[in-house]
Amino acid sequence: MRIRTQMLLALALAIVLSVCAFGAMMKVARQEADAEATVITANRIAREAAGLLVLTQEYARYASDRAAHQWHARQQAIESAIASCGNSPCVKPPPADLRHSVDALKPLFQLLENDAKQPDSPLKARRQDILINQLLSNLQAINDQAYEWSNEVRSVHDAADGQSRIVSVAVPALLVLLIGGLAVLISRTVLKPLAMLHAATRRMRAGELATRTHSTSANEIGDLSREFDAMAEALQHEMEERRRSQSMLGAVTDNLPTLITYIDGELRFRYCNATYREWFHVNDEQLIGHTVREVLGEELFEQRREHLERALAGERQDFEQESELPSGKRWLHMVYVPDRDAQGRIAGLYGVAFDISTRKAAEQERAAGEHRLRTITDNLPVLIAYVDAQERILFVNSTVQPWMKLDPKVIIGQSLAEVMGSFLYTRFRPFIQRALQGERLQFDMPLKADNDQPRYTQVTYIPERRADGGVAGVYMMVTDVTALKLVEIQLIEAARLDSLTGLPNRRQFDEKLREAIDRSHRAKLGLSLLFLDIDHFKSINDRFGHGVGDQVLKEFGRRLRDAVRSTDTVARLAGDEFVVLLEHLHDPAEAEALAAKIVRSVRENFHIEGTPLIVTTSVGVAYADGNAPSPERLVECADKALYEAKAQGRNRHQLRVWSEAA
Amino acid sequence: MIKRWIRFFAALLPLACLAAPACAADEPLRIALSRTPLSLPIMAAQRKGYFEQEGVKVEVIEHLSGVRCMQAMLDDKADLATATELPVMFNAFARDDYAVLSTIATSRGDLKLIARASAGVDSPEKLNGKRIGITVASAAHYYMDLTLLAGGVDPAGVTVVPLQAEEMQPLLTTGKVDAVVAWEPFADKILVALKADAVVIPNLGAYNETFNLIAAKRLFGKRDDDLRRVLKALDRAMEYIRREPAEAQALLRQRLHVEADFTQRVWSNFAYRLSLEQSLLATLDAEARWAISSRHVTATKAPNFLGYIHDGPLKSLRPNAVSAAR
Repeated sequence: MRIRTQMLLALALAIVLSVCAFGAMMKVARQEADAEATVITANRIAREAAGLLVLTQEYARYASDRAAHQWHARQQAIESAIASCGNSPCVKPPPADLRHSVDALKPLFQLLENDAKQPDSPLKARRQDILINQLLSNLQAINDQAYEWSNEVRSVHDAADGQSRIVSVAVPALLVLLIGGLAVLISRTVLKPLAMLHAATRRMRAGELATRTHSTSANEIGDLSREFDAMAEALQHEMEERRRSQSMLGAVTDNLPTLITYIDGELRFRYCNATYREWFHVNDEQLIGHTVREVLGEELFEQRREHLERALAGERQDFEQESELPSGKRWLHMVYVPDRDAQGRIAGLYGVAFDISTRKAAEQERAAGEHRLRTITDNLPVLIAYVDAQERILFVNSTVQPWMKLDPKVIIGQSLAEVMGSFLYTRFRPFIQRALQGERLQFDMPLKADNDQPRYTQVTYIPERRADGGVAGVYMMVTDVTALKLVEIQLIEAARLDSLTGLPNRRQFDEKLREAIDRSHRAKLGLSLLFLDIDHFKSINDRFGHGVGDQVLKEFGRRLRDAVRSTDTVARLAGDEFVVLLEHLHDPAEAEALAAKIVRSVRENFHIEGTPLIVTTSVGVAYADGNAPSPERLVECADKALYEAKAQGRNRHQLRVWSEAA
Repeated sequence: MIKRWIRFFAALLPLACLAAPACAADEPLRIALSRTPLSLPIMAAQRKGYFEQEGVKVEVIEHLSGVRCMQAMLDDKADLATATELPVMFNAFARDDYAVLSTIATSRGDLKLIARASAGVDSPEKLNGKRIGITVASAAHYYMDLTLLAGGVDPAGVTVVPLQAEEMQPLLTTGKVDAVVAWEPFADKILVALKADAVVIPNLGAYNETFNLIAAKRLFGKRDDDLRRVLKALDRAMEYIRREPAEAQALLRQRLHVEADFTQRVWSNFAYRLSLEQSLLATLDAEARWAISSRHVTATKAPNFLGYIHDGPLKSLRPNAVSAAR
């Protein structure tokens, strides 16, 4: 049962009991009082009746008026005494027979009184006799009955007295029982369970989270106990969860290569993870509760002081710092996060630090490397650039400045088209496209420099391929090969001229011949090829040495050049073999005339180092009109002509006109 | 529980009787009972089994008047008798082998002087010279004299016709007598029979009729315990009558063979109580003097009625009920 119900019941019971007791006592007291009153009344009646007895006797004897008067008074008193029981409660009403006896008195006495006036007679005597007898009998009866009544009432009074005594004993006893019962009840249902609950709470506080009351009572304390159990369960669960997450956190924080710390508002350490202790060579005792200044030392503290203060002012700090730690020099990336409570006040700060020494070193390495690279690239006479797939310049070295008068910093991010200008871009564009398709290119691009001098460049495009095969961008290298190119030109030129005589060499001649043939075909004009060599040159070389030989060749070449027109080509094929190409001829006689001229020119004495020499030449003339054959056929024709000339005794010319049949 | 003890003692009684000579322990007490409402306690005790419960065996014999009951006892046909005080008084002039154990009922209005209006009696004075049927030497006799004298009529001027109770109604209705003095239930029957012709002569209500249990003296000292048990049974019966008046009335009607309204009419006239009061002695004395002066008896001196009360049993049962001081 619920305690509340029990208490209410107890209260109700107490009230009921008190009311009943009170009522009982009242009733009993009332009864006693009434009984007492009734007894008094009864006794009065008896006394009056006794008096009436005497008066009746008196009257019977003397018939005195005084006796009669007194008799009536007494009888009245009895009647009113009986009547009084009608008004105030009599515990027992006057018995009926008493009332009847009382009622009978007056009529009898009145008959007697009437008789007294009558004259005496035997009848009167008999009447008086019987009347007096009856009166006396009735009065005696009244006395007896009053006494009986009184006894009955007294017994009621005694009963009431007894009851009152019982009540006066029973009520306190019942009250004591009730109190005792209540005490037991309270003790059992309230105090004991409360004590158990109290003990359980104390055990909980001491840390025994497995404490339970296991209460099964249905009352309020049972409810409370079960709530306690539920709460304890939840608490235990939560504690376990917390422990678990704490240990998890601890496992994580202790094993991270990161410093984790919590510093309160007074700059005291509240928590540090294992890594912190390792790096700073401290243990928890030296750490927890001590100020940052104490633990780290003045120097390290000063390094951090401003950041700490700012963090405690509410500003998140994120900075890198190199510090000399007890465990060695380290670069740390430090983050201070202010700890705000619900009201926004700063209670402390969380500190996290990452060792970025390696990264920093790498960074520095890289920076140094980059610098080195830059130094190199910037000082190479090479223009290095990298463009992405959208032809935006992502990198360019400083060579672009002297070469193209562009600021490398400015052009980064611009497109090639923008930077190069449309004219230049158009020339490069096909190559760029090809490179962006993934082709590795190298090509020459002659440019014009500022001073109108030609600049020859060699451009290399290396596409950067992505893992998926697409092109991310293109590395571009432009090398200034002007000097080389000039040399090359010269080389080529050299390779096209005979270095001794300065005449075009075979190479050039071949080209020229081809061209001349083509022209001849186009213009439908004649073309002649003259083959000549110096007669007996070998013996000249033998006789006078190679040096004289060379001079002779030089002179020979000169005389040839002089002899021909500017449009004609003279070339030295090899040794002492020369060739002359004549174009725009109308007929072979023109070729012959020139050939003769040449022969005559050469006959003139050569003066080599003051010594006159006689040099002669043989000339084979091949003439083709507008349908000149291939160079080889013409050459062959000219060669044949020369042979003929040689065969005829040298120092002369011979003509062969080419034709299909020949 | 009590029954067991009673049986135990009843079993022992034979042994007790061995000590006393002439033991009549096994014999039931014979009670001569008058068939009037005044006998209700005995009837009730009998019906409710109080006699057995108190451990006394009784045998009830019914008579129509107390006079006849007493006679039965005096003739040794009964051990106990019920009667008003008049038979006690009258027999005391001749015998002294009985005594009153207790008054068991009192009544005012039990006796009625019923006259026939057709006899020309409508007031007490008119009774002069009339014939009145009464049971001689009974309370009715005294009642008649008292009523006549109170009404100013010389009893000598009236013709007394001795009748038995059962004779009264027929004789009155047939006109053989002009009036009768009858007690209940006869009075009621007469009134019912006469209807309008009945005139009840009022009396002052002065006569307090006592109804008494009388025992034969031979029982005294030998069967005092039984007598006490009888009184105890009667006491319980009276308690029962007080507690369950409706039941008691029904019992009365059944025993007396009367209608339902009879008990309603007469119930207030009767009071059932055990007592031996001074007034009984005074009454006996007064009536004795009347008997002498009326020459109903030949003696000149009244007996000493102290010898005609035996208060032992009642005193042992209820001392306060005995006020007749020795």
